[in-house]
Amino acid sequence: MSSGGGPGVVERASKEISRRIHSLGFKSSSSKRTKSVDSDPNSPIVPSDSISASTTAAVDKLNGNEVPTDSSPSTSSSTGMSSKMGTIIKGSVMDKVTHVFGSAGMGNSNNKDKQAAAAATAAAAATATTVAANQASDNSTKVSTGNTSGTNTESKDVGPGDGSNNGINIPKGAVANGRAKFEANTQKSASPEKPMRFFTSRSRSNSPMLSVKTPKVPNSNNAAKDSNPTQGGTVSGTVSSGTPILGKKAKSTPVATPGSTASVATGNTKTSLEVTSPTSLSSGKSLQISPLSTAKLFPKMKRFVLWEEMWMDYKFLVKFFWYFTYQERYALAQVCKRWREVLYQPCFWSELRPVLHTRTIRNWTDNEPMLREMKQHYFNSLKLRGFETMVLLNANDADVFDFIQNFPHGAKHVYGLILRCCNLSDRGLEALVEFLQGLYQLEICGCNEITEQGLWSSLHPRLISMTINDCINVADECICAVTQLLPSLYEFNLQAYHVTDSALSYFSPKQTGTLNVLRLQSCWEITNHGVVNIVHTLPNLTVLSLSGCSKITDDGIELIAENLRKLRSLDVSWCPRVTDAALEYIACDLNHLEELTLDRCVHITDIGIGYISTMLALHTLFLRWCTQIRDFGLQHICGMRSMQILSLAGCPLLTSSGLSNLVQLRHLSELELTNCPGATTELIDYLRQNLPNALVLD
Amino acid sequence: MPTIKLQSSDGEVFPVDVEIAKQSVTIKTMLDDLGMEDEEEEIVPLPNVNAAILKKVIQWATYHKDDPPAPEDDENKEKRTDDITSWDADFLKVDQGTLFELILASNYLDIKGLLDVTCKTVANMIKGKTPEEIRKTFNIKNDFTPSEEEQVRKENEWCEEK
Repeated sequence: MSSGGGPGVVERASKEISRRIHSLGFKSSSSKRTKSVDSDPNSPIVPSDSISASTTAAVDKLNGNEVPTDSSPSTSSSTGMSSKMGTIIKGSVMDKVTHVFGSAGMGNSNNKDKQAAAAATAAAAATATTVAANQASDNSTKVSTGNTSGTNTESKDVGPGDGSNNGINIPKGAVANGRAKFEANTQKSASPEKPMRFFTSRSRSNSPMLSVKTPKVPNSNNAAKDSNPTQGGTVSGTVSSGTPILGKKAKSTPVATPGSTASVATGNTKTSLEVTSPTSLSSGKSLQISPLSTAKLFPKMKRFVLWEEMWMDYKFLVKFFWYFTYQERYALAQVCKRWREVLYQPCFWSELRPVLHTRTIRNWTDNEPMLREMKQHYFNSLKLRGFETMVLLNANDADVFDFIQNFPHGAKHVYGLILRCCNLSDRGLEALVEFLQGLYQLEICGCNEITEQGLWSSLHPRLISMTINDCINVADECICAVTQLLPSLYEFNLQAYHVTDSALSYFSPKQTGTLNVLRLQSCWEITNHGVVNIVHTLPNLTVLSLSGCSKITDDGIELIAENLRKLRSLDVSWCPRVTDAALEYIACDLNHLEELTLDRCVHITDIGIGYISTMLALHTLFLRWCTQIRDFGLQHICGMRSMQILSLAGCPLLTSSGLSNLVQLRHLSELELTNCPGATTELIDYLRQNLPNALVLD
Repeated sequence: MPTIKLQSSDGEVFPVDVEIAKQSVTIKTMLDDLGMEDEEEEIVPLPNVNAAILKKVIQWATYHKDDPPAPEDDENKEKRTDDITSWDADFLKVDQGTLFELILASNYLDIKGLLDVTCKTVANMIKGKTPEEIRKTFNIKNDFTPSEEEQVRKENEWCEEK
């Protein structure tokens, strides 16, 4: 359980941040990720760009953020298109195939001489189809329609044997329809050859982990594998190997269609039908399959992969590595180069950020080739893993310039920077912010050299999220700099002991529309007067923390409750002057509040808890070391059935029997009971048994 | 119920319900293509799966024949490995060689559920092991130089959760 507050609101906040970043025109991280993956020729298993992009969009939508990215609208629409295309094709194919089979049966009995021609047609057609299908799936339906219909008209004049421009494109479903008529016209005769196309790999959404090698498919391009319409293409590719296309009892319909196909995609059925039907006849012969030949050809369907290959196979490994947590993947990356190569792609690192131990990197001097190489490898590994946020630890000015020199990739691709315990001067900060042109999130922690003057000279308007913690040379003036220089500021976190009420008056109407998240932690000097400034200029806050602002009293909370109606998360932990009365204000006015943190508000009693328990939206509640809470108050909490995260750590008066009532909270996902004398081993066991979905910390 | 005969690499023939065999997408695709629903006896040879493994696979597929189709899971997401059912866990109490062969067979036959559960078992097997131990388990050669190894270790250690 994180002390700051659970997921929910904060997550949404960071979503919001990324939404804003998108709208600023930065590349979305997810689309970038998949793109880079796609570029790996070995990676057919990874979902196509458009799919994942649209998924991202969908997810964002779910979260209430419709993301106006550059990429997602177009890609998702193309996905939509292609799926639409699928259905259209299917419909027309059905009609068409039926037609083909019908006419095939009517007309031609002497097809043998045309067989060779048909095979040739098929071969060429396969290529054509693949291309067309590629275009279709990559761009839009129109392209393929246009192309194929064009070729159809041509082939009409040319005649059956020459219809080499036709693409083959028969979705599976179409076959069934045509089957009946087709069957009626097929004769049983013995064929020495097996229908090889049955044994080629099929394009399935659910493809197996390992890539399957189909012997004679013209180009085994990824697009073909992924989209259904191309199926026909792949199939006919095998056909082109010269094997007569024969189906057992003619049920193997795709066979019959080699010549007929292109029109299928276009929906232009009528014209092409007559042309193509003769060709398709050649395949009209159906032959009995003998088990023996099945035996011969089955292996071609799917290549069996040997053990040694399996453990080096890109597709398999990617899937296999997802069975591990990132901590466990650390060891995997060290096994061999292949595994490292597979693991060093952005998707495996999205939950992590690198911490650059600059004191060590400093020692990889450029003077010694081996050490220089180490440094290059390291920075390259950052690039490969696609980190967008990084931590510079203990960096001084020289380290920063070294970083800038060795990691040019960062200029455009680093969006978040955390300076932790850096001995960095104002000049270093300025250079860094100037270098990182994509930076929108800046955090400065424990950097004592940095002055307010430095902030004035380095803060850039593109910053959306700003955090300043524990920097001794920073106080009121930094709020002035931040509010003046950062017009898009969405989130501001400040932890500085000596910030005063007057500094809070720097917040101006400029911030009213943008600033959603404000955390003023351990700002000891702030009083209710400061709160007045906040609530009047920042009525749109959704997340507010005044943790450790110990001069705040119930009156301050009343101001907040009355004015910040949009609050979803409020943290007034370590504000010992807050009492039950404040909770009444909160419960009455903050109807959207989802998270409330009251750690160390030692004057809160069961009465206050009673007020809170009426808050319907509340699902996260921290009551650590609220030492007056008794079982009676706990009863109120047990009535809050939507509670998901609850901490009662350090509440000494709660008894085992009182705590056992927590099993009523069926939606609990986290429950913290550390330092509760009432939380006996038996009780914890009981809770774990009865709340199987909850993480119970004792 | 129609049956199909599966022949292992060493010639043994196993009659299997078509519905059970169709859990293998490879076999299902073949049957769909050939339209084999008629009475004729077909023998499907599986030249890369020996009788012992094929037997295990059929046993697994028989037990799981009524399973609902697996939900489409997100490919790029961490997956749990602690949710193996007790039947599967018992079923997979086999030596490492057999386990690996089951992975190969289920990959070849494209049986998603079996591949999933065997991979989970192997993943659990190597969790917590050192890189060297993992190499030994899979018989993978260490192609890192010592300094490269050290480098990779740093690259991985110098990370924190967001």
